[in-house]
Amino acid sequence: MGKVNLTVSIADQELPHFRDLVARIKGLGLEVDQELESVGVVTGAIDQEKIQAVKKLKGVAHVEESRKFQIPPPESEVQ
Amino acid sequence: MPKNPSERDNPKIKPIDKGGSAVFGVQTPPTEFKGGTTGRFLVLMREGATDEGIAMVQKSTKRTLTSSTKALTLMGAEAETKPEGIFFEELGVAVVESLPEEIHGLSAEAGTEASPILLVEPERFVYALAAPVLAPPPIEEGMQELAAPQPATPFEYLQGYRDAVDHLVAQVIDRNAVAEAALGVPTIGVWNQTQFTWGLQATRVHLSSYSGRGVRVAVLDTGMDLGHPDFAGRKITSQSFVAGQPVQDGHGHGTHCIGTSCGTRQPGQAPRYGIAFNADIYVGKVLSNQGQGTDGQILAGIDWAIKNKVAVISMSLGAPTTAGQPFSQVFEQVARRSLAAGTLIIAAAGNDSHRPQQLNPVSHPANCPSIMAVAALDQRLLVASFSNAGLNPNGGQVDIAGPGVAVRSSWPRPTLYNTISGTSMATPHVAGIAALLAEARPNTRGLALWALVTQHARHLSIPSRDVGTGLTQAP
Repeated sequence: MGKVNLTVSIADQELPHFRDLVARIKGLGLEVDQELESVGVVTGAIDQEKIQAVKKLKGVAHVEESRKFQIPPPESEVQ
Repeated sequence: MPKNPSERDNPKIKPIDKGGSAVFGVQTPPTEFKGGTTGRFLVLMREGATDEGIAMVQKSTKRTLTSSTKALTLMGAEAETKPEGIFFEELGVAVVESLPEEIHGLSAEAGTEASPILLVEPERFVYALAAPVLAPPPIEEGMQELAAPQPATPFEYLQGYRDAVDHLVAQVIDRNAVAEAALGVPTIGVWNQTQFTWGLQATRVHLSSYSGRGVRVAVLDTGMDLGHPDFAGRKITSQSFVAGQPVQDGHGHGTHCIGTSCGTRQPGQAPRYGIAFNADIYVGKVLSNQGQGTDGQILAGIDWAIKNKVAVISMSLGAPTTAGQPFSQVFEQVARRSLAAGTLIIAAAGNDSHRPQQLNPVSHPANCPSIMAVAALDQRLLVASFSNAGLNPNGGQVDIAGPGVAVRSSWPRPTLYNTISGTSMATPHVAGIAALLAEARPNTRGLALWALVTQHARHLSIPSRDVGTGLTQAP
């Protein structure tokens, strides 16, 4: 199974325990890229089949696959 | 708003739609009926200083103010008991009969810090906008003796109606002329850009006395040419979120957006293209020199900006969405936390449309309810052909519009300047203006700043689906 890049947001009521929750998500298999405490989000890569477990973890609000952005090249008229 | 609906709704307490005054002891001569002012004045008190305000008004005008609640009771009574002036507690407004010279002293001091009075203005006649009461149909001959006595023709009422219509017509004619002149919209869409870009003129930035001083603005993009001569001496904080790439802009997009939102007042080469020329610039490189980025990088940039207590984040980036696609719950939660922390996120609506044939919905993450979505206008102030539309429900709307076609701004050396189009170019116009507003109102941040920004837009005769509340305007 391939790895999937995830963004995971922590529920409002769990924000005071942000780091504990990140540790628990790590325990579920997320290879953490960034812990963004100001916005209550943790990003990282995880095996596809482990995503459900993260979604079900108490204190996790939302789990999304990280989208990609691509702006046009510099010479484009519309950017 | 008044809490007591009987005060608010009682027609007796409003300026009356007749020449004479039923509210005050002194009758207004009917000659003043022809529009204009009533001879009374409205005095707006500072919140928490109403007692001082009332005392001051009574002293200046030598007239007693009666509370609106009490005035209501008095109104049904005999003429001699009618009040000389009324104070509306819930509104903090007094209405008082006064000679201009009596009120002058109040007016002169109004608005100063020491004065309990914020504003004095003459009361205007207000006419009911309901349909006129028409005279009954003429009575056939022979029936006359049998008919009941006719009520007097509501002459006064009709005259009032005519005056109101005249007034409205004059206002509309005036307003159109004034609006077009004020906006400086040339009829053929060609602007004189020798001194200022058309975008700065259309948003009235060139007339603003604000510069974003003391306000932090983060631009999350491809970085910035940190050595661009137009930014020499500026306070710049920067951070790259792209592995292996420094902040230095290897694309151009970021330098262009920072130029519009925060560029200098006196560029090396005219015209001026930058808005908040005294703002503190926060450069977050979340897109690579190849123009690529991910949700994770952008979220990291937002987190960094919030930690740095920036007032405004400008994000000229987006990923296309499809009809019916819901917004990102993660970004929405982040944007709400950001607003709560005092940081307003402004993002591009996206360039996926091909108008008029094809309209595409607002991009991610501008489609989040708590992120302000910016559409692009051309030089005729029409929506740009590529600008996305508010098609998806639940926050997928366009919130505001900015100049986004043929926008000149800074570009990495050695080019220095470039003229390009996109909702990416419209977005930093709104962000720069948000910084001016944030300077003008230092305690207004987050959602309150959002309200101020949209409130300051100039409404356009284009569907809000395309331009939201209209063209962003500088304070």
